[in-house]
Amino acid sequence: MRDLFKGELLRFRGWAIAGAVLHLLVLGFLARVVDLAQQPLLVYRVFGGVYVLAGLLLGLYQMGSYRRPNTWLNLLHRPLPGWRIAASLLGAGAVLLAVAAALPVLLIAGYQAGMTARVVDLRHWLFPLAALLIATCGYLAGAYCMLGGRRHSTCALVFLVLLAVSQAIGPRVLIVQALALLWLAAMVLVAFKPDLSAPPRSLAATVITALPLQMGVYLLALLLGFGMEMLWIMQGTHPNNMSVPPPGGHNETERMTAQQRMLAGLAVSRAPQAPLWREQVALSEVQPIGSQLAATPVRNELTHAAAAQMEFDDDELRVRWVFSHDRMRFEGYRLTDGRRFGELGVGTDDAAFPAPAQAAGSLPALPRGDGALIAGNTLYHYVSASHQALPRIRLPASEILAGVTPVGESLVVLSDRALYFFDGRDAAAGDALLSPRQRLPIPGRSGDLRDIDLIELVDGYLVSFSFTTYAHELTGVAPYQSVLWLDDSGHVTEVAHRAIGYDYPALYRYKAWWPSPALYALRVAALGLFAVVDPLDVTAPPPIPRRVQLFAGALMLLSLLAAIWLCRRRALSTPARLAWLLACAVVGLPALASLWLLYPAGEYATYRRRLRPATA
Amino acid sequence: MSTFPKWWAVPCALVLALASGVLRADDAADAAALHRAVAIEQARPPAPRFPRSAFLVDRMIDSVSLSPDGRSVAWLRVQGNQRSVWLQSTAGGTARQLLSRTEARQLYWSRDSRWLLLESPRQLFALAAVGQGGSGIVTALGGGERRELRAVDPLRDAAVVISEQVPAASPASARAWRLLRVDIHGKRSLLHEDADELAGFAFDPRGRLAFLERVEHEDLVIHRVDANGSLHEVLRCQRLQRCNLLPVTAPDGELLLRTDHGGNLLDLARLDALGTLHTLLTDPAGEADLDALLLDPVDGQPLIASWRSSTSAQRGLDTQTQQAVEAIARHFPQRDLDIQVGRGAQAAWLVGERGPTLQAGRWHLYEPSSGRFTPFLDDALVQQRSGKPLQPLPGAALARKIPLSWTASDGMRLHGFLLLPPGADPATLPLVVTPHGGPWNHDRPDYGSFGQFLVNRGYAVFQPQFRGSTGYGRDYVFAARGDFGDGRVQQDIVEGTRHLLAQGIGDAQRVGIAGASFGGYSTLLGVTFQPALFKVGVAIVPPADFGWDLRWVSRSNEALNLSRYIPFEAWLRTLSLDLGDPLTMARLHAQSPLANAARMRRPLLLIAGGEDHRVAIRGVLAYAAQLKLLERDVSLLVDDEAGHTNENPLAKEAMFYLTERLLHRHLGGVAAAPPDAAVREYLKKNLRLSGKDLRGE
Repeated sequence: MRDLFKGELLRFRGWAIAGAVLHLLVLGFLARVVDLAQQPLLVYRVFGGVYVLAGLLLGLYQMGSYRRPNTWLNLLHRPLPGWRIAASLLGAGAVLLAVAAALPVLLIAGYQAGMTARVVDLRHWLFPLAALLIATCGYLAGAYCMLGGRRHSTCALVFLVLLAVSQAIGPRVLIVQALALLWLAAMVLVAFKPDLSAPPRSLAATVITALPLQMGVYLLALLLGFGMEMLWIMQGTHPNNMSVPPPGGHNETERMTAQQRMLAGLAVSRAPQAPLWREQVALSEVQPIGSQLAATPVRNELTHAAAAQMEFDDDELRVRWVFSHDRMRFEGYRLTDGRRFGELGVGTDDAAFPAPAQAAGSLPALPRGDGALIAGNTLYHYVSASHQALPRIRLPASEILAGVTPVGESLVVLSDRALYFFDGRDAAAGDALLSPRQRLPIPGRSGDLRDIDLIELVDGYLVSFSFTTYAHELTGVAPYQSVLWLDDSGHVTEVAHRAIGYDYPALYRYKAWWPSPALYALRVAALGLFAVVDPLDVTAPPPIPRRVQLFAGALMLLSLLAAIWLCRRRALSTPARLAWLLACAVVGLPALASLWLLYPAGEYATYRRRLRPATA
Repeated sequence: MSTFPKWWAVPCALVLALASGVLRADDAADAAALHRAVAIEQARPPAPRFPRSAFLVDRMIDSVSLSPDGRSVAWLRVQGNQRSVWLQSTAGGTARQLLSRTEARQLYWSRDSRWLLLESPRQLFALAAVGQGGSGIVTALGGGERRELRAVDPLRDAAVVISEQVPAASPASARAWRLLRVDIHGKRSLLHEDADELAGFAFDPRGRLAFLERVEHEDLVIHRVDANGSLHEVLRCQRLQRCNLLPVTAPDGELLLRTDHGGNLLDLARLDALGTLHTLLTDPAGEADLDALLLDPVDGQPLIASWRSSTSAQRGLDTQTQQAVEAIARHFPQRDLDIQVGRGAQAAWLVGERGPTLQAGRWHLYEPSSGRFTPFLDDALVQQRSGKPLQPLPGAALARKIPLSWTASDGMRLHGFLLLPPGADPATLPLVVTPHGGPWNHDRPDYGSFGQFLVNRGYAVFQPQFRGSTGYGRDYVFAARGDFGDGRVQQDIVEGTRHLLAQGIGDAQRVGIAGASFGGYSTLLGVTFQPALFKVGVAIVPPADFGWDLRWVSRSNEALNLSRYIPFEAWLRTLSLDLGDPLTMARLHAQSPLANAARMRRPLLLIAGGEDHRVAIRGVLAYAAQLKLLERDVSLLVDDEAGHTNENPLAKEAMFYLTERLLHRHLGGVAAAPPDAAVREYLKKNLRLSGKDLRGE
């Protein structure tokens, strides 16, 4: 086993060393140009994709070189159990990837930590491990693609998709990667047998293989749907791409200007002031209210959707402040010479921020160099002159502060639950915490909310909320628009409620659900494993329409009937047959497809041939 | 029920008769003076029509300043966005450029005449003026510490006095204020630190801080500073009494200040050791507030006082200076003069010449020893839109500002200006009333482009200084008593207009009203409540509900800018505009154009700015929406990028064009020349409502 391991290491050492050097050069170059620890998610995804690809190619090549029948038999014809042979090969592959993928990352992290003033948190030290896990997953997927049955071996790629779309946060991402790695390793071990084309026999082996296969079929179905959507778009009748969107639908609402949207809402209003408001809106610049958070940051998350917001430059001091998750403070370094400048916390004693803080741009009447920071439920005023962060707006602890927008002479603060109105005078005078003059609850869920449009009235505000974000899929609320009048005394009245039509039929919207409700649930669970629910992304999906439920039920029934027919033609034991029938009834078409892929017709023929002499 | 004794009736009747007799005599004298002035205007040759662009010009020379030794004059030259610093010797020679680019808005000389101090919003820069080294930043300005230049140190050779806020140690703790002396190299020395904001200061002749003025709640309180630095209250200025300390005390150590404490007009006064105020100088005409006070550049003592309300007048504080001032006034009759004094052997004085018929300023050197005047510098004009140089309009073609007074129906004497097209019969002229903005402001006796433009288009222009206006004393301001709806203040404007018509000035059937800010509000009131008098209105950045707009401002950052020391609400409350009083607010609303939109039936042009921090755009839009719903003849232009004042040359020309067109259609002045493509494009973009006039109906 040791010799095999060493042999494999020696066989690929040149490639591994060359890969490591190239990798190090690329990272080294980039580290000179940018701060690699503070890159947007896309950059890390590109790197992750390269690691996966490298691992995949290694797995395909290495196992491909052994897969030819004679070579394969020679490999297995050793005084060792099959799993130890597999472990030798796979262990060598993992070590090679550690050298090529993980080691350069570790070296660069060491460089940044030891030779620059840049922030290197504990989470950054986990990057090498993540690189290794991702690359090894790719490697194992490649190995399985080569060793598994030709009809179904590509199902291992499902785990690579999982790595890309998992919503796990922080170090727990590594657990998801490790679980994927373990499953892939199990799949490779199941496939590591003399007859590579034979289907799995044991229950465990069948489950280990069939589940990814069913998920793969499910994903293929989604991919097929996506392909058909492309054809729809090319045809020119897709609601997203029609020059004139369907009237009354959510695309039409989303494409409206803020003014048009407000007028559309007021068109259905029966309020006595509505005619006057319509005239005023027609004369006004309607102000959109936006969120400044792409996603709510979570402490110790490995990557962040808007990493650029975790740092900001003070052009007066010529200092870059970068948020450190370890210190829960900003660490500053000079833009002129890169040397450390100091630390920025809350108040005069630089206390730790209670949540990861993000830059939120500047605000009116702030001196040059000053800016706003958002952390959790609090907005801070960054004072350049004293390099302090002073809390100015604090929302209730249960809310997330998502953005601040100057409107006229006021500041409008958006949380996941409400709009708050603050007087501009209070914001400009003094350093004390501000008290909101008014609060306007959001008439819906934050995740569904796509557009907030506002105009100032003499006697308050008129605010339109459009809930259309996920109207094209099953997670979103049935689209609607609500126009609220917040009068000067703080009283809120809904003056218009407009139901917005769907632009897509129900089967389109629920295309992720009806192919297999069970696998959809599994997909949701897998993606949400170790995830933290972002309060800004919470939606209120309606119940699944009955006709869609009936359609999914019909598909499951069809799968069951087809499975009964198919099982009669495959060499399966009765428990296995019953299990497959149950799977096809519960999982639906993907289970049926996996049954068909795992047990080819040849098996049935062999089975029949075997039966015939016995019955003769 | 108790009644007055009957014998009171006799003295009361006598007093009333005497008073009315005095008033009638005043009115007769005013009327005679007015007719004389009108006759002079009528006898002038008519002026040609000038293009709109001739009135839309920028001056290239700014902040002209004579060195204390009288040997050099420095100024800022403005070309578009670029400013440069220029210097010229008073002994002759040509001007030379000292600095090709600066952000400075104002320049000052250091006391030793060796440094030019360039003040920009962000910093104070010292520029060597006599070839020495060491130019550099003296101090940063603005910022979180709100540091500001208070004065060039009047007694040190090269230093300034600044104030700044000390940031609070924590949000819970209070801020503090500092007064500092900063030398030309940026070395700071603390003069005083206080928990209260510092509004003024005065040094004794030896340079020691002798008096401080603090903001204490709603009062300005003057303290004497003893040798230990302790403060002792000597005078409390309440209810918006003005108490502006001169930076240097009198030679005997007594405080000099400009104040209306205990009186009506803003005068120069002395505060003796016992805390008693003694008036040193007041308006010889007994009418106006002291406008400016020139200090001796060497010892900081007051030299020349100026008044600018109905007329411009100067007075020297000592005999020698007064003789020189009289000589200058004789040389430049009917001009508004800005005199700067140089000290030392052969030192020249600088005399700035301005006036309503002088579109570009002129500066002259005056030699007190010989009494000789030498032209020194003429302002240059550039067209705002093209940036091309332009000759000033000839003074003979511009209207003089005729000061006039009349007695209101409640007996109060009011003032204003009248501008007439030269050579025209005033009785046949259409009349445009242009109330000023504010309302706590006043029209000055100098050149104004809007008034001159209207005059050139054939309109008589009336600028009423209604009660509430500044410049005529404290009583004049307070006489408004917060009656800014369709009440006493508006009545002043209406009565002033009727007074003019009764004097045979203006055609009563062709009267319009136009104004900006409060003038715009008054315009809306005029076309709403006095439609029989005002046939058409042009309202620029008008609050449609004055009370509501003040409350809106009180919630904004602008409130901090408007009330320098006294809290905005307290300031308004003292002026009988209590934002917290529902009755006051309800009265203002009930009398507002917004609440009476249905009564507005005259053609109206509204112009507003989207970034206006003084007049809420939403108020204008709500009013316009109401008028639109009522199908009134209203036009609305909104420039989203404009503030309370629109600096965009294109916007100014568009505003002139629209005004000209509307007034021509309804009052019959000169027809507007068609706008060029750029103005048409601007109008297309920003005109949100087009009235009948603009629709060609």
